[in-house]
This record gives sequence, structure tokens and C-alpha cells, in this order.
Amino acid sequence: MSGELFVEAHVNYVKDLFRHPSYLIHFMADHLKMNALYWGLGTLFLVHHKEEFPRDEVIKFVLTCIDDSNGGFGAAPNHDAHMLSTLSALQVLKMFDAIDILSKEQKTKLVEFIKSMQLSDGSFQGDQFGEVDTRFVYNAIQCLILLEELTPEIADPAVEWIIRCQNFDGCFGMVPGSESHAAQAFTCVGVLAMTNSLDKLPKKELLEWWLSDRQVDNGGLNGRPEKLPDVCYSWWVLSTLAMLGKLNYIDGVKLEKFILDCQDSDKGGISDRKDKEVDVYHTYFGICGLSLLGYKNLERIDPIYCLPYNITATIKKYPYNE
Amino acid sequence: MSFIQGYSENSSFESVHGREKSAKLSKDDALRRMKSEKSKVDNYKKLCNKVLIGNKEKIYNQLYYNLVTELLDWNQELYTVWNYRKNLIINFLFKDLKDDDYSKKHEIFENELKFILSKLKKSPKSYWIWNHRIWCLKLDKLSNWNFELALIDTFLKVDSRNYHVWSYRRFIVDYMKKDNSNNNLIDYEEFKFTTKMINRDISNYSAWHNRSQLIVKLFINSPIIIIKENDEENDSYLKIFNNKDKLSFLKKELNLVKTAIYTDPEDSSVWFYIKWLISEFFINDLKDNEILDTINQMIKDIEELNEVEFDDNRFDNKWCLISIVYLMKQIYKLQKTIDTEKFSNLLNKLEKLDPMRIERYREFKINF
Repeated sequence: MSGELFVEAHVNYVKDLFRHPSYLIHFMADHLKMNALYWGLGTLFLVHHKEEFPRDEVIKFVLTCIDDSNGGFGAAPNHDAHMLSTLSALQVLKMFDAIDILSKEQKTKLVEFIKSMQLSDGSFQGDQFGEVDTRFVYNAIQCLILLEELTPEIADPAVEWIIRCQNFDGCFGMVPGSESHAAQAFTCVGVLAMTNSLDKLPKKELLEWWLSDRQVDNGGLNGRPEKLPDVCYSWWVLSTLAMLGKLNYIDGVKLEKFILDCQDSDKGGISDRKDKEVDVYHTYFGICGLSLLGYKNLERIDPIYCLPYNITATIKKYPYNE
Repeated sequence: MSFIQGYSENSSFESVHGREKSAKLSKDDALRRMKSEKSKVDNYKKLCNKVLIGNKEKIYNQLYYNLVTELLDWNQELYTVWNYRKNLIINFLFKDLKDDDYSKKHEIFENELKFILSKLKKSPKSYWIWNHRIWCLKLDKLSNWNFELALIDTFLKVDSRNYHVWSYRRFIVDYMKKDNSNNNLIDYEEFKFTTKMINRDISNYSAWHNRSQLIVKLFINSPIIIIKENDEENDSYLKIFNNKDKLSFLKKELNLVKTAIYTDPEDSSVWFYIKWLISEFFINDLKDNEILDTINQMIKDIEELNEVEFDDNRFDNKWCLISIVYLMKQIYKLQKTIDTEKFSNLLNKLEKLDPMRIERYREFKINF
């Protein structure tokens, strides 16, 4: 085994992000706050330190981010609702077993907002301004599952559209026609897995080979051919391989070393590559990758939902058998 | 809102890629930095709150339009403020215009596109900003597509793999098609663009990808209206598409591919493309002997390259072996017979040559 995971340093790093901001640059990143909360809280859950965040205050904060005009969640109070922040908000509530804190009216409005983002071809936009991306399909499907409101009328066309995003190399792009990208593999295969449609995945072997070819000589994974490795792909690539049952298609020992080498032992946190600046996004996805690799003493993460298994065990899986 | 007591020492929630590490500040330095930034922070918070409230309360006037500009000059990643700006354009700048006053609207959009461009130069990978540009172009009935294509060229010169820029190019091309009756010709021009990009750098996977998309479209939608090409090379591609002649296409394309693998045998981009060339889309339309001849020729070429590589490095080229295995599998599909000894030798070599993926080769051998 290579180095150690600096759990205490990472816990301190994550906690520090949610202290009162000191510098301008911190105030200027509010548009990422809800995502950062999910990444930060997720990190604490995986390293068994969830009690470091005060549950009630976190929930109160999440509720202040509801956009009254449509019922979705914004990234911070008074920011517009968006699919990205809406999923993060629901994942945070789910981790605290607090989805039911939403009132019946809030829930109804939220479900309506999410469903209204679906376009006639089955895809989803991120908000009413028209940007379409497989990420938003993933967001919408998981949101509706967490709210126990997914229906075949929503899921079936979404799955059909997702399959249209597959390319000549077996991997998926942002929309039909766009280049393959490992993060889009996660969102697309994730949608298939959440909707119990993995059997509809075409060119499975081609995709599995393409994904395992993402591992480069130093053990790290890249997101596209001939690009540099980056810790976050330890999640996007590996989770997809896990969903396909092919975790053994890469060298886990080398990847583990690559991730651990990207830690900052002093400040805490994990960076994209060795000796670079850390951030909470790479911290979370690095630890998620380690969890998939079976690193010791970590909570096991569910590759489909990107939440710990002990949380996803309580999800009502689709299709509902009632 | 903060959940944890005290002041933060870390800088931000921002995701940074490739940024150089900054040292942890001492208590004194941190305090000094906080003090020096205090008035900026106050001004930023004041401006930000004012704009966010304006957005909530749907205030659409000159004052707030100016505040939005000022705030985006300060922080161009605020998606909510870009949204507000869209509403300001529609509800304030367009307020006194007739619905069909396209030229006045175009003037407004021209200014907006200039503003966006200055932001894109600072963050060429920002989803929100590219999206704002697309939003403008969708509404502008007099968009200058050629200007956008030229702009894409300059961005690709800086970063030839920028995912956002390639997506943007496909968006522009789709919109150009709406204004044009000869869509095949536009696709054909795009196909030529990928040739240009590949000739510039054979490692441009984004270009190979786009090429695969365009080839499928050109074969399905051909014939392309006949035009006289001056360039003989391109002209022969045109004939091939018009005749839906997949065999000639493969021969021509395999020549291009051969040049590419000889240029840089370690580059993975083109090897993925080869796999696709010898797949269903092409071979389903060919006669058995045509396919076998093509594949066998390809195997011969790759084996020759591998020999050169072996002489230079004293070990086999991984991509050569992977591709031969794949091509042999395609032969097996057709003939139901194969040189099994050669086949498993190749896989054994791959296990040693590429131990990170040893399990993949083992499974492949077992499943075969």
C-alpha cells in the first residue's frame, strides 16, 4: 500500500469552507455553494465525520435556497433555481434523512419544476433558458427518484434520448453529436442504471474498453483520449466501470497511489494533480474514488447515485412495484 | 450563512484545475489580507445583493442593466446574473421595439456579443457564458454565422481540444443549416474542416470524432449537390459520397489513417477511429471478399509498423497489437475461423505489455 489518507486534515479543510468567509474570492463563489455543500458533506459522510456539520442549520440553509418563482433550488439564497443545485440540495437533504421536511406544497411545486424542464425529445434543460446537457437528465432523474415521483412518461423518452448521445467509440457526449467525455459516461450510464435500463446500453464492450483506456502510465485517469489525468475522473470513469461490473479493468493500486499523492497534508484537501491547489470538488471525488477502490475505513459509495450505500439503501428504487 | 464558528482560512468553493499551490497564510498575513480586502468585499456584497434583489423583483431598467454589467465585469461566473441580463435584454432593451424590428435587435445583440466575447477570452470553458452567447444567437434573426466560425477558429488555435468550442461549432452549423437549403454541402464543408484540423495535428481526437459524425450523415444524406472542387483530393471524396461508395471511402480513409499512425504510433486518437472504420457501419454494406481484403491489408500495414516500432524500442506497440486483435475478431465474425494461436499469443503479449489492463485481456480471451 502507498501513503495514507489524511482524514483529519480533510475534515478540517471541509469544515473551514463553511466558516464565515474571510476573503473576496470566497464571497465570489456563492454560485457554487449548494454543490460545494454536497461535496463537503459527502466527504464527511465517507470518512465517518458527518456530525461535524450541524444538521438543523444545514437543512435551514438548504430551505432558504428555494426559488419561490418555480420551486427549484438555487445555488445560494436569492440565486435562480437550476437543475445542478436542485439535485445537490436534495442529496444533502437525503443524507440527513430530511426530504420530508419539504411541505406538500413545496414538494408538488418542485416536482412540477423538474418535470417542466423536460423537452419534447426527452432531454432536459438546466433551467428555462435552454441549455441542454446529459448532466441535467441525470439531475432530473435522480431528483425524481429521491422524491419518489419518477414515471415511465418521464423516464422512457429520457432513456431514448440518452442512447442517442452515444458515439462511434462507445462513450457518450453532452448532447447527440458531441464528443465523448468520461463525465458524460457517468451521467448517461447513471441514467440507464437508475431507470433499470442498463440492458438497453448498446456497444457495451466498446465503452468498457474506452473507459479502461483512460488510465495513463502514472495510474491516474483522464476524461478524454490524449488529455492529462485528473483526480475527478477517479470518480467519473471508475463509477461507470463499477456500474458495468468492470472495476477490474483498471489498475486499482496505481490509481489509489495517484489519488493519495494529490493530497495536501498541510492544508488538507485533494487537488486535480500532484502539487497543485486543492478544492472541495476534487477532495470529494478523490475520496469517492478511493471508496470504490475499497480503501480501508471509508464508507462505501454507491456508483449509481454518488451517495453512500447506507443512504441509498433507503431509496425507493425505480420501477416501483406497487 | 456559515455553519461552523470562526473565520475561514481557505479561499473558496471554486473548482480549480491546474492552479499552482498557494501557501497557507500565517495568522498575521491572513488578518492583513482580510483587512486589505474589507472595502472590496463590502462593495461586492452591496452590489451583488442589489442585483439579486433586482432580479427577484423583476426590475428592468437602465440603472439595473448597468449594475448587472458592473457585477459581471467583477464576477462573470454568476449564472443568476446572466439570467437576469437575458430578462433585461427582452424586457428593457427591447421594450420599445416592434416584434419584427430585427435590425434594431441585431444591433443590440451585436453589442451583447462583444461583451460576451470579452468574458469568454477570460474563461473559455465557462458553460454559462457560452450558453448566453447561444441564447443571443437563437433570438437574433440576422446572425453573422461566418463571424462566429472565424471566432471558433481563433479559439481552436489557442486550445484545439476545447470541448465547449467544438460544441459551439456544432451548434452554429446546425443553425446555419436552418438558413440554407443545401445542408449536405454544409456538412461536406465541415468534413473538410476536420481534414484540415487533422492535418494540422493528427492527435486531435475532437476532430476525429466530428469526422465520424459527418461521414455517417454524408453517406446517409448523399448525393451532395455537385460542385467543382479545385482541390483534387477533396473532389474524390465528393465523388465517393455522391456514389455512396463505402469501399473506395475505406481505401482512401485507411491511407489517411496509415499516415497518422506512422506519424505518432503512441497516439491513441487514431486507433479508436480505426476500430470504427472496421465496424458495422461500413462492413455491412460490403461484400465478404471486399471486407476480408481490406482487413487483411490493414493487418499487414499494422504489423509492418509494429516491426519498425519493435526494432526501435525493443518492445511491441500496444495499440498495434490491440488493433490486430480487434481486426482478427472481425475476420472471425465473417469466416468463423481464425488463427487461434496467433490470436492468443497477441493477447498474452498484451497482458505483459499493458499490465494495468491485464484483466480486460484475460476476460476477452475467455469470452472469445
